[in-house]
Amino acid sequence: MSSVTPQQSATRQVPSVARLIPNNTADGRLLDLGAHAQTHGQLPRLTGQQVLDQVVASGLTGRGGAGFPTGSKWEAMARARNPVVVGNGSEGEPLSSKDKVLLTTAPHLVLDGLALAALVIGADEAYLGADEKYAPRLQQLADQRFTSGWDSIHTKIVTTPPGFLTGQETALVNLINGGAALPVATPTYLKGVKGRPTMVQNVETLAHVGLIARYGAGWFRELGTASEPGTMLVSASGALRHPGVLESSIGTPLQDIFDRAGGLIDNPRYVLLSGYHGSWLPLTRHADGSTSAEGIDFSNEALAPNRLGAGIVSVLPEHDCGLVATSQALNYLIAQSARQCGPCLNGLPALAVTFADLIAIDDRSSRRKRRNAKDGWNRVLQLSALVENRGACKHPDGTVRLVRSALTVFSDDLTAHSQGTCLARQTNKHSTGW
Amino acid sequence: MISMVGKAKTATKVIVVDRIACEGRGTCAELLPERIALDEWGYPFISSGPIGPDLLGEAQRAVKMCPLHALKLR
Repeated sequence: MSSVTPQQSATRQVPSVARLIPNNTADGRLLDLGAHAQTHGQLPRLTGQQVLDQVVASGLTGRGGAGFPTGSKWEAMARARNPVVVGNGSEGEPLSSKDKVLLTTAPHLVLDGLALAALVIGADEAYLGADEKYAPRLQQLADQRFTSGWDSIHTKIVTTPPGFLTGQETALVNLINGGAALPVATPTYLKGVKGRPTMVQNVETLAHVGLIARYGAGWFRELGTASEPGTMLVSASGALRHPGVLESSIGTPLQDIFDRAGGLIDNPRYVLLSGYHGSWLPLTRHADGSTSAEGIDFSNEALAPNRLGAGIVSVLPEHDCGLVATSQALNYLIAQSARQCGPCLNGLPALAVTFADLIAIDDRSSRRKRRNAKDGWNRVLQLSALVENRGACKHPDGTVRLVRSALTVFSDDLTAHSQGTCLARQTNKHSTGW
Repeated sequence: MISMVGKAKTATKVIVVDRIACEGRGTCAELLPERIALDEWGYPFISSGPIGPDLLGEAQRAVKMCPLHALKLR
């Protein structure tokens, strides 16, 4: 493994992309409707069908994590009777901050997209879910848009409580209906707000539509790849000098993201993609050891929504143990469970406790405990299989994905922990990110 | 996604559990052991695949007898 010193890995200049996040204002924000209009222009007078045609042609996919083609979704919802549209900005994932950044820097693009979505599917009610820190300000903006005639629909902002599952679309709809922000079993497109077919769309997706309606599908496709056009917001965290939210063309190598985030700190070896419901991946170094700052060959893991989910890249600090980090994430995920479904209610805590017990094995643990570690890890896999596909929402499935990737990627650490040692030898327990 | 092909009247049915409503009473596994097993906490595992005419009666009974109305034939 070649050593990449901080000097060698000094930040390369990687051009930034600024479609969604404004770069032409003093404070980097576009809160004023007039300034928004000056930057992006008025919304063109298009029919719902014309907007839909552009969205379909753009190839835009949902940026909330699932990556479903937006055009197909809108086409289907346009056939629904008496539908409602909901913008989802609740962003429960702790490693994600792109929706918060978007709502505080370019809220009008989101609200434009929401109004366009209502136009396309024929919704006469529009809602936008956002954290209490942003909801009052957003409601002011929505009111102003309606009274000034910018919007013909009066969007209602819904204050979402903190919590991992709040971002789940059925939870948001249940909250709008006066219930708790917890997932329900019925899909929103069948029965959502007030029992009506409801289309829930992530706020970044909506913001992209706000641009596509103005500049067209062809413009949208100028960046990104043929199969995944456009840009996406990435929340970069962990062992990076300047963690934060970056807008990037889809298909951008991860190294470019690292460089734009100020470069890696030390020599981290693992990255978590797609967040707490995502997967661990090893970082591989180039063999030539040249002066190139591209010490990481990530050409196969180029930036794409299907790999990054809602755009999350979190670098595990070099001196942190991936199994310990996974165990902490598991504890968080179990605490965030809605405790509504039996398999999740029973299976996930059992999974987390078994996992924590196994990584707690040390030189004071009994010989028997160490000998039985292998059975313990098999029990972790067994519990994973037991909860998968057996929840009303995807919480157990996402949790299992994280566990399985940890067991694969950290297999050496697993062996070490089973023998009572830790390869990372965490010298700094309070290192960045984790 | 939305526009699922309209189900023909003759279409075979599958068993679906409302995971939120289910409290693991286990009645279903007792009435339809051919298709339903219980996990270590008493919550049902449903074998995949449609319910054929041979099991339809038992399946309907299991649906009817679920104390939480958590079992459905779709």
